[in-house]
Amino acid sequence: MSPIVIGVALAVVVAIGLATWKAPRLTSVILWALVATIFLGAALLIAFPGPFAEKAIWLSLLVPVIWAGLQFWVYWERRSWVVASGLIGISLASAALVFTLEPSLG
Amino acid sequence: MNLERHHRNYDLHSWSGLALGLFIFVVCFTGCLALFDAELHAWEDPAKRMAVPEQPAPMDATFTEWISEQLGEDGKAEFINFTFPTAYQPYYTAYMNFETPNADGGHDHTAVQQSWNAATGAPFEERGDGLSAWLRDFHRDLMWPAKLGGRSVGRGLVGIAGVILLLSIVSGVVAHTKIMPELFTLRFFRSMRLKWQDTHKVLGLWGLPFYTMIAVTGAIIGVVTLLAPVIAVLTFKGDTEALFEAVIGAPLEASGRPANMLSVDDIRGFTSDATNEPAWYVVANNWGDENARFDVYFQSTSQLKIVDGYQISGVTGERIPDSQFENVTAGSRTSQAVTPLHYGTYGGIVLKFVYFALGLSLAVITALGMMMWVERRLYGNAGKRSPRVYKALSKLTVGVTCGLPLASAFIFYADKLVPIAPDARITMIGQAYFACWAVGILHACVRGNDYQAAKELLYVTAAMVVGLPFLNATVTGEFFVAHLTTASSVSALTDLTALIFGLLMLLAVWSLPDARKEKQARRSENRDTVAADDASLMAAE
Repeated sequence: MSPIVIGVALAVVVAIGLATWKAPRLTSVILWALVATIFLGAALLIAFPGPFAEKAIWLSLLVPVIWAGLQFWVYWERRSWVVASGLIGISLASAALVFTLEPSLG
Repeated sequence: MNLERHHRNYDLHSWSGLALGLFIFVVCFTGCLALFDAELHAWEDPAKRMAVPEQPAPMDATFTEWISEQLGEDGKAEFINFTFPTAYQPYYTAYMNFETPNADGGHDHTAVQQSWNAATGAPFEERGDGLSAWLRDFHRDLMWPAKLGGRSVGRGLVGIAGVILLLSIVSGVVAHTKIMPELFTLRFFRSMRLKWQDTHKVLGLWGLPFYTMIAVTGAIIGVVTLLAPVIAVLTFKGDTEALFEAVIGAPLEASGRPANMLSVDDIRGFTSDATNEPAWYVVANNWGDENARFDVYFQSTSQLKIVDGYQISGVTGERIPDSQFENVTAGSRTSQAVTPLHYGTYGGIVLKFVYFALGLSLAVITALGMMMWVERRLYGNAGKRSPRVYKALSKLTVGVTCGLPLASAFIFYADKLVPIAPDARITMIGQAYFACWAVGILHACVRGNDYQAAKELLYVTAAMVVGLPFLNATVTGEFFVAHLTTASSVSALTDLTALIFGLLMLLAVWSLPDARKEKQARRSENRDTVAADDASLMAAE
């Protein structure tokens, strides 16, 4: 990978880290809720039993609700650090599932 | 709920409404017009105003020849759709996407469309996409340009508006601790701000089930195009072929042996199992091959389903058992209900008008929310920025919210009056739309009185809407009064609706104030008076 790409990627990571540190709720509602929704969706699709096509349909119906639900939780939870760490935790746990398990086709 | 949580929730409601309030307004307002794309299309193209003939002309030979002409010697059809005449679209239409090899060793992809007179089978001279396509697609995908990622990006952005609207609705409901009294409180003769606030709450609470449904279904339709591919690719670690196979099954392979296709005229005779309706349209797979298949679709106007359908052999017409269509699961049935729920296609024209009224009220709620926010900062005790910032926001809100209806009315005139090549029509409509909208915003910015600016823009819009029947009569010679029961009835009823709606709008605009009636209590000038006023409003909230 080119050093420029690595540099840009590092800058983005640092910027997101700083933003999360300084404004955890705002960063969470804009970014982390979306990231958590994507990874949680993929993890649910992999981990749940049943026919894949059916799971995919239900997931497509649920994704916007999950996203809005996580965004709402960001402002509902009293402690701002719980919000950011919770969403990052959900994303990491889901990512671990996604990259270690094979999808069950049912 | 504790006070701190209440404030956080209120902040969420404010920022979600403010940051994307104008965008949500645009999506809501354009959605109201997108409901009527079929009716507007009949109004738009006078050549296609006709009744469905009792004995439509046979089309198979013409259709087959058209496909052969388009494909040439080395073209390969990717998608073929043939639509039979219906009351709203009383003519035959065919769409085809096909690929042809190019000099670079790759393939060029082409999309073509043709319509034919249902009575004679003669081809129509295509007028090109115009007014109705713009109004429909601007709501669906903002007509997002291909250079910036194409329509699916636009559709995703509209879906995000649905998610934010859902968030606003949930936080708005949670913010209201006295829902029952607020349902019945409309202080119409008090201050402007109280009137706006009560209207925002009353409309919001009474329409809550509809708004929630429209936000959820809109978010599903839009966001799915953006997020589902990402999720699916993650699930299959980038193997998109495996993904497609898992979701929609393995594609039907062509045998390579040519065969004569079943006549589309015969397919018209197939009927729906559920409604006994004749076929609405067919999609052909593996055209001209022994393994050809027709997906036959039927209109499903009285059920919560996009379409009803089954699959038949493209050669023999034999029904294919256990197809995807007939394997109905709870998920597929729920998913089928989303689009009709969102576009109100399951209950006829009356339901569309109910959707129109509720959709318009949602747009009004969004605009009122923004106006209240600005008002409290411009004339109240809230906010930390200078009045200039809030004045600019106020002008922008007026310009966007009142300029959009004006632009929407303006393109009816542009479509009818500007002579232009079919391919360039949609671009011209888009340019006219944005130019008129920009003029509306500019007028609001330079007028100096936001109330007057709003009234003037809405007066011009109402006058233009009232003028639509006369525009139609001038250009096509069909004055609606004489055509309410003829083959042009859809267009005539569109004219009549425009006339009634325009007159009602004139009446409504006439009753709007010309200026702010309350004392101009600027924050910097009279903070104490304003603080008292604010306290009463906060107590009411």
